[in-house]
Amino acid sequence: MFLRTARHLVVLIAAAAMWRCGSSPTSPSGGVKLQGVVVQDATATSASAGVSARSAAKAGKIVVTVQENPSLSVTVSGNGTFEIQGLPAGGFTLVFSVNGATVGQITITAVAEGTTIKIVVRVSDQEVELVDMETDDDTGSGNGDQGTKTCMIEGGKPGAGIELEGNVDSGTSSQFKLRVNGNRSSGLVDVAAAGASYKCNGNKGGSDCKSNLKTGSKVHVGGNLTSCTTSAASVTATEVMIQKD
Amino acid sequence: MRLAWTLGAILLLSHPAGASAAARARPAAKAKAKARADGTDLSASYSFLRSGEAHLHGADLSASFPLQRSWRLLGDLSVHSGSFAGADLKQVNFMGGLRRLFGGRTWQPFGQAMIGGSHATSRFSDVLASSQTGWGGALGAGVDYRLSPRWALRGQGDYLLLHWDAGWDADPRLSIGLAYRFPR
Repeated sequence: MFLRTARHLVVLIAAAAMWRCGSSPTSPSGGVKLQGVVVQDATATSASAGVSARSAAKAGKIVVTVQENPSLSVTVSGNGTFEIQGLPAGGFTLVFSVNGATVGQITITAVAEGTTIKIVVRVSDQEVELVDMETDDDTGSGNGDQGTKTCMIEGGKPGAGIELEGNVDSGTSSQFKLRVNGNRSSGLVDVAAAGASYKCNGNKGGSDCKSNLKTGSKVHVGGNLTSCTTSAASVTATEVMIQKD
Repeated sequence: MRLAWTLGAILLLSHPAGASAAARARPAAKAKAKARADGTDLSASYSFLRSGEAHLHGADLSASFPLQRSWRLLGDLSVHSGSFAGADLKQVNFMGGLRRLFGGRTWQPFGQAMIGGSHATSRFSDVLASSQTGWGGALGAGVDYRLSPRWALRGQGDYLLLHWDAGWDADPRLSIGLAYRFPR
């Protein structure tokens, strides 16, 4: 009887473990797959990377929801990992909330069917920051790691919209070079921002905000990727958010 | 989550009436089982952990000390690492609890319940790092295949039930390795 009970226990644990080892049951298959890691309460370990330590994020339950399809929603696990399958090809917006309060969103564009996107996101109690993004194209075509690279920006497609995070390397508020966070871009990106609207974090914006842009400023750039090769890329910005001077 | 804990407790603590009768009918087997239960044992295993969405690999070290009959006091330490979406992950689990041995000559199954914690670290490209600690426990079962009077091949599966800031996570852990039992 003991042996039978033990056998049942072993089978139960093994079955449960095998079920859990499969893909996320809450995510439908097909379309685009997104794998992400949320780094919370983060501390910078390298000043040269241009990222500085900031106020600690409020610890809590982080939920990621797809704006275009709110039924696609996952809770970030204890170690910060999450996965969403069945995302729409073309592009989508991820909305991040901490303990039910929305703290920010990330828009990902120019995504081909069958692509796996890997992102590293930093979440604080005030904002969400895309630290790194990589794409794996399951079909072996396009701009994925398995295909031939035609653009130095991961996920970048000339003529399509793009969102970039990074630090100003040089230039002025109307034209500057951007050092993109993480490994998303292999080189500096030229940003034409003469016609862009400027916003400062914690400030309503305007001309005062625009003048805050200087070398080393941490910015979020939204706009259009006008041209991109393996050695150069140009973005016409429609919005520049200065996150930190 | 509560169901998993309850189920594990029932299975670990179950003591059907027919079981003791069967044991009395086989005193020799019982004596052998008791003898096998004697002495401290140590084990070292390769271990796989599914933590959140990540697949981590590492090592599991455990020690158990005899209490009475088939019950043993258990200490368990496991370290796992891996990468997910470009970030490097590391997780250290430290737990203690009770293990119950079941009869058997060559094959000796066991079930166990532990409480403890886990420390998880996420690091991205030497630029960002964050860590946090979760608390909870684990329910598990395994089996020893005796290679000699002292050595055994051990296979084990656990369900780690941990409460983090983000809520409860239930992560499976599978281990396989060697166990050595010291004479008492």
